[in-house]
Amino acid sequence: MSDDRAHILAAVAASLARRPTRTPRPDYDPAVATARGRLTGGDLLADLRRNFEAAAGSWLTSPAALAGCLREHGAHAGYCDPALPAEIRAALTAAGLACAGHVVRADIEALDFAVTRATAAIAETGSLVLTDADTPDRLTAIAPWIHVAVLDPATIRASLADMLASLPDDPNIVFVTGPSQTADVEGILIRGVHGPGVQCCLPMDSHRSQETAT
Amino acid sequence: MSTQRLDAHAAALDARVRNAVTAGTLATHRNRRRIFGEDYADSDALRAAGAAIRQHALDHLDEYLPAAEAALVAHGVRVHYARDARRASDVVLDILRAAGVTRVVKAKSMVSEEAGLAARLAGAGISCVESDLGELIVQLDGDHPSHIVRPIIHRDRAGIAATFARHGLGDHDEDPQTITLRARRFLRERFFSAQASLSGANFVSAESGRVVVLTNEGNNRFGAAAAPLHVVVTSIDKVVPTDRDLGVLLALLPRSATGQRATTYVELIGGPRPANRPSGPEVVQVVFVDHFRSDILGSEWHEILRCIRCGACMNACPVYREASGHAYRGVYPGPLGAVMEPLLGDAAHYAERVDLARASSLCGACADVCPVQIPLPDLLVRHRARATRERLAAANAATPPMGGYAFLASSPRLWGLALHASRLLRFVPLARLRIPLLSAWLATRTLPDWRGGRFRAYMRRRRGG
Repeated sequence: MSDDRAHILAAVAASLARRPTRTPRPDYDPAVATARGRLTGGDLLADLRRNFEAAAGSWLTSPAALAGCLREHGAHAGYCDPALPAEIRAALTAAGLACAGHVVRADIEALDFAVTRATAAIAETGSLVLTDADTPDRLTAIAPWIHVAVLDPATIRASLADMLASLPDDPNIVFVTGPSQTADVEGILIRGVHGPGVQCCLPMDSHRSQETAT
Repeated sequence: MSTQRLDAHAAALDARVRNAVTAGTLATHRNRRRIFGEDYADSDALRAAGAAIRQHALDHLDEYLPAAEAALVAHGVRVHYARDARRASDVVLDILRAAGVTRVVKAKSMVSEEAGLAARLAGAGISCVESDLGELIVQLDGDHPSHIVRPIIHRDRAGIAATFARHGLGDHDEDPQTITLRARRFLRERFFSAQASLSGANFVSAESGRVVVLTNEGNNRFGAAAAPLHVVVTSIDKVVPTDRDLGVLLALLPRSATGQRATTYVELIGGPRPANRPSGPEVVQVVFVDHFRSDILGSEWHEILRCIRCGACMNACPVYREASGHAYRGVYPGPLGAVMEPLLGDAAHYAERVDLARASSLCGACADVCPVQIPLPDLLVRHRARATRERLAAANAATPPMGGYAFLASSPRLWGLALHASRLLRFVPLARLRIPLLSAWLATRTLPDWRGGRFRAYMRRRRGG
């Protein structure tokens, strides 16, 4: 195997030596990649909401709205990260939804929904950013039909370029833009292939969360 | 008169397949154009940045490949190298055997298609299920993907429903929603019971060692969350210098591939899961595969390595639309494949595949849409030139003999004489000559009178006056 390494690196070096010139590092403005019209230059939360909804995400404005959304989709039981503000679980329980604070792998298939924390979001693309640091179990964020990401608006980045310039040190960073989908069959868009068919976002600022938690 | 293999394939193509391919490519082609128009005042500036980033990365692969390796190792990832596709399969098989793995789920990896990895694993008693919906359908059928982004672009829903019914995934049902739900159910237990997940990489950042994997279905997110071992099989050309550079490529790729602003799941894999988390791989291994990339890097086709596998060139190509991806006889179809496939083997392989370079009218539609500005028509012409130089018979099939023309056109005096002499053709009953190509052409057309040489006379007078 190390033999292959030496072989490949030598072949790469030999090939590059045959080339008359090498392209220098390009000097470009990262903003060249930012799509126009996706950011209004004003409220990032409003931009995120518009672009998140354009990507078929479900935007929720309160724990009560979340409970309503889950009921509407016929959900009965799910998971709610115990580290999240207590009022979320309270709203879900009040609406008659069973809400586990811990799940083992064998029970994940039985979950209708999961509520976990998003680490950040990208307003330009309407994406949620999930990491291992803030997702107690990756499977809860991918297996149930409904995933709800609770987002602190202070963590929203304007553009994809901004997000990439400040990535957290985490072994698994995922940008999620809308529900799981495919257009493999005749180009027809179908939601909910292997991941959630419904992707929700519930913004709650961390200041308020802490007050509620204490 | 001989024909090219691609033409023969196209002529025999099932009308259902042709319709599916034409409709699928045209729709994606339009979506691509619409979203670039909406989102960028000057998308060429973005494409130029993408081209420069990729070319710079390739031109410094001797630095960036070891840098990527060092960053991966620093994050606890085991790195392997494989000089060719066969070795890549050996390496993956060794990894899986050492871990006692018998059940694998696999997301898309183009280079593992080159290696025929899934079949190789099956031969070694390791079940390997494709988790992308299109790839799964192709696998069930023992078929091959016909498009790099939409593997079943050649299939319609009736055919897919028949496949599912045949393999016990439910009674015949052509509803795409039902087909998708059945695939979801079918894959669930396989995700949960897999001992390893495999994937390719769209990009690898040399700066951070992050492996970037894009899926719309979430199949790799699921696979890599459920299994304790994740193996990435990717080619050495996927390395990009920095995380910042990913911004440009992640803007170009989904728009070019599917007309989306962002792929649903963009995963940045930075190593094994934290010790306090129950899901995600305890072990991550990356296999860098060369398989002729290092040769291409020093060749007159080196620009093809910039490719970010969006498939826009095949969606734009009138030949691909008529002939379908299987006509290209390899992993990579369309203009990309016509350039790439001949290069993925030895001289005999080159002679066998370089006819693909003729499968183009050189209209340039592919270069117009390429997000990293690969001069695809130029690269095709370079193949044609080499095929002619090396007198490769298959590559030149159905090409009229050009020796006489070349002889005349290389001398201005002879050329002028020939033009004047050609006026004599007026008195020759061309249609009655038994020249198959000529009579076929004249069967539905008439030629204007030959007036050769007048333009040259006109130009001479102008210059003189």
